[in-house]
Amino acid sequence: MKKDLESLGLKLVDEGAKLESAQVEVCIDEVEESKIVYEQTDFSVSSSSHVTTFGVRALVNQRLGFITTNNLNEENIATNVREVQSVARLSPQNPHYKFSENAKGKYELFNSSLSEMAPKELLSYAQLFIDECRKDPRVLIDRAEISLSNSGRYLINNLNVNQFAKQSLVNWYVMGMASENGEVTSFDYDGNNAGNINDIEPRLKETAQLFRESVLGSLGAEGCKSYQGPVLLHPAAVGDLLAGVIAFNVNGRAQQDGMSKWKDVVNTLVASEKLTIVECPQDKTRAASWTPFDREGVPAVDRPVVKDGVLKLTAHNCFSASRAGVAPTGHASGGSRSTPGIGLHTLSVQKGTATMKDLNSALGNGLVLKRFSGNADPVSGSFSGVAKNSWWVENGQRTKSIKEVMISGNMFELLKSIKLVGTDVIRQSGSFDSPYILVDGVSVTG
Amino acid sequence: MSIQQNLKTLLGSAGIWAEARYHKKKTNVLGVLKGEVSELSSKHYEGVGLRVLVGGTWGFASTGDLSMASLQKTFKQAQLMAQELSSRKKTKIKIASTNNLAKGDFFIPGYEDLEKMSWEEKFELVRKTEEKLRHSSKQVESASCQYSETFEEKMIITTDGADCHMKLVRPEFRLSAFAVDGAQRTRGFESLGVTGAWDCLFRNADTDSMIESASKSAVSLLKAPVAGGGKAKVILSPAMVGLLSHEAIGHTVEADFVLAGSVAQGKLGQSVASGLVTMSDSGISEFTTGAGGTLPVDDEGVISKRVDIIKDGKLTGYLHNRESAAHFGVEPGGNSRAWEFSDEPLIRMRNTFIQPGTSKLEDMIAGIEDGYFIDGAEGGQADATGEFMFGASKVRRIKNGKLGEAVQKVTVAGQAFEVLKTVDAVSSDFKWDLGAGHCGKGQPAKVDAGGPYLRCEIMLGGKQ
Repeated sequence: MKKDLESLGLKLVDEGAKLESAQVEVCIDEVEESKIVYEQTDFSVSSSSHVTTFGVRALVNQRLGFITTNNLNEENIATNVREVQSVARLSPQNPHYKFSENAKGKYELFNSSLSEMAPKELLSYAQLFIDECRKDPRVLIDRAEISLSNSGRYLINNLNVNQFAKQSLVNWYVMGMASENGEVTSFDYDGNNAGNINDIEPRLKETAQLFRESVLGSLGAEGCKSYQGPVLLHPAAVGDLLAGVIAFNVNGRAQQDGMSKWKDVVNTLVASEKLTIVECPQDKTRAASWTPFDREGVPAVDRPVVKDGVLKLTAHNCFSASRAGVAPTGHASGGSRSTPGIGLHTLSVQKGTATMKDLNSALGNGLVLKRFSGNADPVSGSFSGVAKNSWWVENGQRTKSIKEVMISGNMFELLKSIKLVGTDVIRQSGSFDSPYILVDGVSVTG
Repeated sequence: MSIQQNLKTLLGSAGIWAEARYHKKKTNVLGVLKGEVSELSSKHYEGVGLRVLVGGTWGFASTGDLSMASLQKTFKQAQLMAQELSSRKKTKIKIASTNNLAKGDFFIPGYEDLEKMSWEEKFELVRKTEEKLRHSSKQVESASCQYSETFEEKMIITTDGADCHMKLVRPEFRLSAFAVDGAQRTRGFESLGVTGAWDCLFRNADTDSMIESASKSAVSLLKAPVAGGGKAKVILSPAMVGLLSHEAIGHTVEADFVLAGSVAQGKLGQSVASGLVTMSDSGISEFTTGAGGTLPVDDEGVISKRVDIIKDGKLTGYLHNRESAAHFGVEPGGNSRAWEFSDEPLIRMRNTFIQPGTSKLEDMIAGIEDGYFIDGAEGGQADATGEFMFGASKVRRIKNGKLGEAVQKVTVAGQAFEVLKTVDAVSSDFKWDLGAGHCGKGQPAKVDAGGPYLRCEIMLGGKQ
């Protein structure tokens, strides 16, 4: 991260304020990335990029405009600041357009041996990942990628905010299927990341193993009987179905604008008492989702979202917080190329008391849903889609993989229908933590 | 010196196969949510992507710094990346030679017109549309409307002869109505998206009809029953036919997926659909102007052609970039696309469609005793196996040959070729109807899709 970016950001904020507007905010993202791509049976491309983008918001007499550019010519950026002020003039006045105030800090999740890794070394890790994925020749890779990024973000405004975070990170994913005797399974994917060089190899091997087991486990898949009743959600399906509806409905603006069902329900029961979910932006073991401050510079903190089934949070950025007459909660989402939205940070569903044996026994005869591929409407709560990489349990025992099975139901009802929560928390794609959860009332069409 | 000239100079003395792509993108967004501005923004992203073929291996590097020194450094970096990888590359890449490389200017009408049109005029339509939609029904509690326009300018130069300059603009218009009845909440959604100017965007629909449709859709869903799950006889609207063509078939015939073992591998010349089905993908807007995925030249500098995928039920072709075209020994059709300058080109669709047939829609409906009319395409996904799923938000029962009540949103699913084999009627209508939809395959891509009405059998996710 170049030091002169901070100087340029500060200069823009000062000059923007002098020109006309009372407030200017600059978000600067700089990303250097090297990437290796493997497709089908061979490496396909090695690439590198270095991009710096400025996102400038200007508040002119309670009117707000935004412009973003990656052209770092100082004159060009100054022209853009003038342009954003003219864009802002179109906006009706709104007293709730606000920037954050008084936050300064420097944060690092940076490992120099990782950040200075040579392309050859990254290529060795890529080869290891491919070899591990293909340990069993029945595994077919459609695409796999491994990338090294060094990134930095400045968030500066003229209300005494100057936040900076830098990070080095290795990311990887694989997508593909298994094939045997002419049968080809459904796709699956898995991925993870590491912010420390010592974590790369064990995590690469773990991702490859999980991917192999999943696609190989889908061989020989069959249909299943149709029913309405209990389904055991794999941690990945908990993320697909339950986390999405929660994230949308705790959004302060969605509540204020009549889109969310959870307006004025903080501190009331919205889910089974067995459910507790916390947000963990400070967790450095989840390097890719580590977030010391939000898109507006407000510190992001670990906190409960749902505790024993009771909703504990309304997520705000500065705009929705001002409307609600409360302090912003550090949930402004996005980057330098977008205006701040509202979003939750990485989540952890807390462990329950049911062992895997308890969960399977309680399911009895039914579907274990690993991946949900479909449409889930967070407004109405209804979902409908296909069960992927999933399996069937008969008398509490896994009996077969299933395919071409559709599921539907309502996510608000699922939250209340939780019967059991597992004891083992499993991290998904290096970010979302959850145990298995047994829910009821799902329509399964086999 | 101009950027184009700098890129030519850069590649001129390379002594290797190389491709330089300057890509400038400007997206303006004007949005209103429940009477208040949700976004007024202008987003600029500009730079050069450089791709080289060294030792039979691709290397790619990009930069947003357009100075000659930066371009030279980036070009060297691309070569270094390729050299490093070539030691582990098992099969050396060859690219298809073609006489179809673009030279000169390729400007699609609309760019200048939309640039000249004032923000005030565009914003006024957004503001009024949201206000009208919000007041369209007592049950509509909230509404949103957003207009966006993406201006794209590219210069593509390759060492084997492409040298072109391209400009186009893609405006989009979206609106949502949120209806409430007690604890029940629903959303109705409409969108448009084209490659062209303002009048092209509204060529088939005005804002009043979109408002009526979004509002009715949200309100009707409040009371609508849930569809029964299972296999059903259905009519798919042009939007759903487009989604089926794109998601269920189109992805399986992208040559990179074919080589990975997709269901279309080895099936050229075989019967994969009803004889009533003929399907293509084209960079040109066939039948009517303005299709959202229109692309005169792809990101390898190849002039776009129409590629026939299925003809009278038989699989006739795959979608290629220059690398896969060389592998299969065919001409590339212009399907290599990159989202931004910092992305390397991938095989992507453009405008994907099923050709109209001869049946009348009312006769097709009359031929169904118990089934569904399915419209309102929502998101979809497909596997290389041809298994697909996609959502539909406007669904009505068909009983005894007549359209009946609206039901809740459904997800339809199946195996693409198996579904296409059940097609027993194709209407004579045609419409591009993917609206503001984009395709995701690592990178986004603006695509369009459409076709006539189809009658077929499909799986519905519903209540048991």
